[in-house]
Amino acid sequence: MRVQNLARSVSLAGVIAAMGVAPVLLSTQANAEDEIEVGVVLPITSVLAPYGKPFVDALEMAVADANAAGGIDGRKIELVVEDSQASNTVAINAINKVMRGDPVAVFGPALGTQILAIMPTTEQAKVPLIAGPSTRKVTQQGADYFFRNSTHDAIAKENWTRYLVEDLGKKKIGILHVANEWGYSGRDNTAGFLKELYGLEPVSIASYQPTDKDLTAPILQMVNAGADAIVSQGHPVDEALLVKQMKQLGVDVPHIASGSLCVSVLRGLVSAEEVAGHYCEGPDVIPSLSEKPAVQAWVKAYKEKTGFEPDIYATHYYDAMNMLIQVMRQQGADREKIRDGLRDASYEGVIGTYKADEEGNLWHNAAIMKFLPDGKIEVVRRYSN
Amino acid sequence: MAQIIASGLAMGSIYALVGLSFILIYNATHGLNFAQGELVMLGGFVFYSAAGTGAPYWAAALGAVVAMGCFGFIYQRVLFYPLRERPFLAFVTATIGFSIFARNLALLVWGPNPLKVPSFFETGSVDVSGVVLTPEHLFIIAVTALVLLLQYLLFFRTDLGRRMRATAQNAEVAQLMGIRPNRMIAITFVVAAGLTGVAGVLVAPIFLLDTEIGLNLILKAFIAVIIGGFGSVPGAVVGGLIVGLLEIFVAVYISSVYKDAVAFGVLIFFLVVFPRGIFGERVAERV
Repeated sequence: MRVQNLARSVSLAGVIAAMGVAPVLLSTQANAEDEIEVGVVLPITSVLAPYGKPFVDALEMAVADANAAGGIDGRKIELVVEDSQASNTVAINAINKVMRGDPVAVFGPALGTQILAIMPTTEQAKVPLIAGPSTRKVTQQGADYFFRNSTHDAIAKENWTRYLVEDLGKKKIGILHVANEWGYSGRDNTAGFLKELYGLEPVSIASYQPTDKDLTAPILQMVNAGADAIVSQGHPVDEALLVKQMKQLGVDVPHIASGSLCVSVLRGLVSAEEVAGHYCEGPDVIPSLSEKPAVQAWVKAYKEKTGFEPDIYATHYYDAMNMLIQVMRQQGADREKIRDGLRDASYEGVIGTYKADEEGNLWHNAAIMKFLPDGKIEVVRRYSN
Repeated sequence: MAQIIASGLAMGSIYALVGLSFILIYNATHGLNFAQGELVMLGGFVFYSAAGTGAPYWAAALGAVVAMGCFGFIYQRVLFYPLRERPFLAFVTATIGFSIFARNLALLVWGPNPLKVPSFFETGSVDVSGVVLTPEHLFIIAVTALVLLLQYLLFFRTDLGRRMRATAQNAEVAQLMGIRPNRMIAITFVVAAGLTGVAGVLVAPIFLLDTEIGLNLILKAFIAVIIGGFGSVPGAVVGGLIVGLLEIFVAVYISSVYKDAVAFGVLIFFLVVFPRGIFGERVAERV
């Protein structure tokens, strides 16, 4: 009898508890539906982590500001972040996981190979994908929902080729690049523009493995070929080591590095003394060089959050997130409306205007900067379209 | 040319140090420690943190080596000791697991951005009778030579060294002679981890630290010990130097793209044609 009573009271308690819990469950579900999901697939761990974490920080800052200002018609934005690591397979798993929710748009890695891996999924689901890979062919696949928030190599490499030949009068150009898809993109675009614009061939092309720390061999190859200028497309660590080792080997021909060198300078991987005389190119000038109050405020806020000055690529992610927020506020948080909005809108970001062309490129500028011995940075060439 | 050789010898010295520490553990336990590269990586990061406290350079370097030595003891207790009676594959698998763990741990502790450790030297290069050499490369070669000398003195001129060699040759007989094998194995782990600490301190200023530097080091060190003769201490050193020189010569005179392919080609060649390597393994020569 006692046992029965006990069982009865336990089950009664269960029913009461369930009744109490159920409304809570319902209300959290309602809240979850109320939030607007934006997917983020970026490399947060692995060797590519420097290409992910800074962008996540930038996206979070834009979202925090938007949510503090009331979100989108009272609905908060929620970032659903998944790690793509240094692997296309992991990137595909990450996008699948993000797509299990209901994201209205997805931010992807600034890495051509990973974008090519995840784009079929986003295209099929008709969800806008925003990312900054510089490999041009990503936007030449006929994708309808992809938007590039940065400059592609065809613009950037034409800009540095013109600078070397027209402004510096160099004809014997050596190309040094990391042996991966991104490095080859830099090599092919530069060689293509040399040929197309001036009928020139590069005097030497040298590549190295992404794991290489000793770049003596490719540097000496440039020297032996008689290069009077060098361009290089490598990751921040490589570009920093290259600058250091060129100095050690006494190579002082003009050297324009990819935007990675701008990043290595901002992250303190090279000293002002080591980098003096070298150039870096990028989709725009380093944000901290701008005197505009909006840019200065962004630089300050980013530095407070992360401890580093923002590079131009992180700024692109910040701007693109704010562009997405503006589009959602004007058109509504719906995939099709966002796609149309991103395609048609002109957005004034902290560093300039974003406006899509027929390929889905939102940003069309390029700049080359020179590092001076006194630690200052001089903008030597700008390109804007 | 001298610059190329110095650069090749410097990289070779690093491979030699990693290969040597790998072989010490192999000889003592018959276990392959595939986390040796990650120990170098951790050594570099510890050195970075120690240097960041404002301690003098030598103190930071010494601190990193001692810290890695202590870590070697813990590593042995946690990873090797519980698995010592199991098939050797258990320990190998555990070390591979640890290498993944260590990379992610370093990512959590030190963050994803590569780190720069200031160089020992003020000048970027020294001019030796018209030949430009990097002081860091010369320093790596000199320190490695010194470490090898100390290593030799430890193993062949001290009683502790004799007991360690006895344990490596035959642990059971050594035990009958009153040597405690477990203690000797623990000391071997400490010495081997200390060596990776030295390698970490040496590479930190020239590499820029990131969490992935260990992977390439252990692969090259592995090639080095195969070429030199698996189990042979002089073999690990000579093999390391050969791999370092081979890499740079292939990169300069053939192509950087084929550098790793050639190194692994040589590995396969040695495995097929000279499986015993240059200093073919004889138990009597083992440390």
